[in-house]
Amino acid sequence: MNVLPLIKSEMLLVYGELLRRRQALFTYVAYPYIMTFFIIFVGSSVGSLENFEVRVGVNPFLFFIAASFNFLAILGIVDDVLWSPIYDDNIGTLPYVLSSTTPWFLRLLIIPIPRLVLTIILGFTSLVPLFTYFEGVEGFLTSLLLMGLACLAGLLLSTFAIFLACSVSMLMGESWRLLNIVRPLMMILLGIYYPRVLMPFTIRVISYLLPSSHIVDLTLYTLVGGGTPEVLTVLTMLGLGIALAIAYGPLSYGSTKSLEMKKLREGVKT
Amino acid sequence: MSEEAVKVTKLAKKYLTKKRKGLLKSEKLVVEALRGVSFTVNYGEVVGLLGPNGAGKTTTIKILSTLLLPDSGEARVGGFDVVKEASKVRKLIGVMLSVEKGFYGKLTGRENLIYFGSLYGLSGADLRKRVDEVMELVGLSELEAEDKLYEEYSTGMKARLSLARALLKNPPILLLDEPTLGLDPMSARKVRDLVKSLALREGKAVIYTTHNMFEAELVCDRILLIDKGSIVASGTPEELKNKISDIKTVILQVRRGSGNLNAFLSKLAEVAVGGVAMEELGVDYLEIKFNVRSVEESLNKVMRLLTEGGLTTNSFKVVEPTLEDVFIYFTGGKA
Repeated sequence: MNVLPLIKSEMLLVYGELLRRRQALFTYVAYPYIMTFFIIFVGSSVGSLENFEVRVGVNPFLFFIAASFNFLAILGIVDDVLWSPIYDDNIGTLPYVLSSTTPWFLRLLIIPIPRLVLTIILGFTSLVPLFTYFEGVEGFLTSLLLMGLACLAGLLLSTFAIFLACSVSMLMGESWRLLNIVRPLMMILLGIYYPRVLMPFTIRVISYLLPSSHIVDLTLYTLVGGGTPEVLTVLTMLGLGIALAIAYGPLSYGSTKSLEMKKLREGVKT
Repeated sequence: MSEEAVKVTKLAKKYLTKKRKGLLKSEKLVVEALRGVSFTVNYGEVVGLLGPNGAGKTTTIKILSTLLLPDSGEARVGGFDVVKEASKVRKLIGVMLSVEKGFYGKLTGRENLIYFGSLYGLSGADLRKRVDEVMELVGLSELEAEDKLYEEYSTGMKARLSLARALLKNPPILLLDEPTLGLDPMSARKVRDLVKSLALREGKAVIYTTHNMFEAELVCDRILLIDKGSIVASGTPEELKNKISDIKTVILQVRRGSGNLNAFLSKLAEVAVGGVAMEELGVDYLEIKFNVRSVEESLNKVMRLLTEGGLTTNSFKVVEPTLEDVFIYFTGGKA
């Protein structure tokens, strides 16, 4: 099956559902700045920016803009996967998706790819200007590297997101309620704002099971380490992330098939 | 390709529903949606599924669309089993399940069709050409609605777009669930004419569910009357009417307050086949409608009852039953 037309058609949805909603797009673009300034405003009331730079080893503006960008980039890529079964059910497109000749799992797997456009837009409106302003050409190159890592983190989370979305939809009727709790938890577990090394042991173990948490860790190394991390560290983290994403593949396929069968037994809502 | 486009044999489906009993308790209820339904549909034929709400029409369409698994029985579409060979069935069918839903609001009509077309395996120039063709066919080009956002569409436009999607891959079999529900007369006529011509000119097999008797008579070559999950009668509209040919419909106009109406109605119930319908005709008259079997004998009884009741009649008509009367006769008057 040729997946290129499917990716192109998903691109239409990204364009229609996100880029045509100007207010939503504006909020999306403004979010990293809002979060950065909010955290720095609150942080400044209990400490100083200089102190943060000395202790963490990175400019707080750059750290929090990168964290907020990472947060939104990953969410932007996987969010549509997480909500897809519920959204299609509600607007009545699910029967046509299921009765099409494209397997549902393949469609879910393709959803995140066109969303990378959003990550790139967001990268050029948040990361690139700030990093270039503070660190010049080197900052510009670092911002491109961070954008690449965010794209990878989002893509690697998609199989887990499919597994989560389909399992939750199978377990309970109003699955969106549970997803509303699980989604922010997942973002915390990724270690974006709260580094993994500071997490309690059991939480850290759960965090290790999320493919993208290793890429987020790599991002932190790039930012905080004050230079390029060791090749072995990079390869280990990339390897772990990719291996976990692949490992979730059969689980996500199984959960999609199970949800499809459940829908077919009960009758797809029209 | 076999002559039989759809073959359904003893199809049965039960739904398990829950009825709330207080805050925490609920009672499980089993609803028999289909009870061993069997029928066939040939290529070039429009077959109407006609029945009251909850009769099993949509359940049948869903099973044939591979969107619902039957409990027992067999359904073959284009020669393929809808359960075991669902992916092959999906290549042969065009489905229209809801007039008002099923598209992305922030995409235009054209973009929506391109999106679903790619899910159906179409791509590139072929897809764009086919999208233009079907938009022309359903009259959306005429309305200059191709590049309007779906959320700005009227109900008529939405229905046409839904039909356009069903036709996108030019399938030999169309499954249309109440395609004219809520449409204005012009849009409804456009949909009906198109469906009829697709069967006639292109030899497509069409299953068409509707509540509308007039529509069923206009569009369908054959009608299956379905009630409580079973087919209670089937045939061409004329054959169905002939099934109750010994029954005639009597329409009386009676002056209000001219005699003992209640006594007349209670005795009339013994003569009439099925129920007696009554409607107000302005301030002075009531219209009473009922079916009778052996006309001569029944009419004598009715005349005698009118005289006994002291009722004054303005008009007395005996008419042939319509398809609506057939529907009411077989389904017990449920709409």
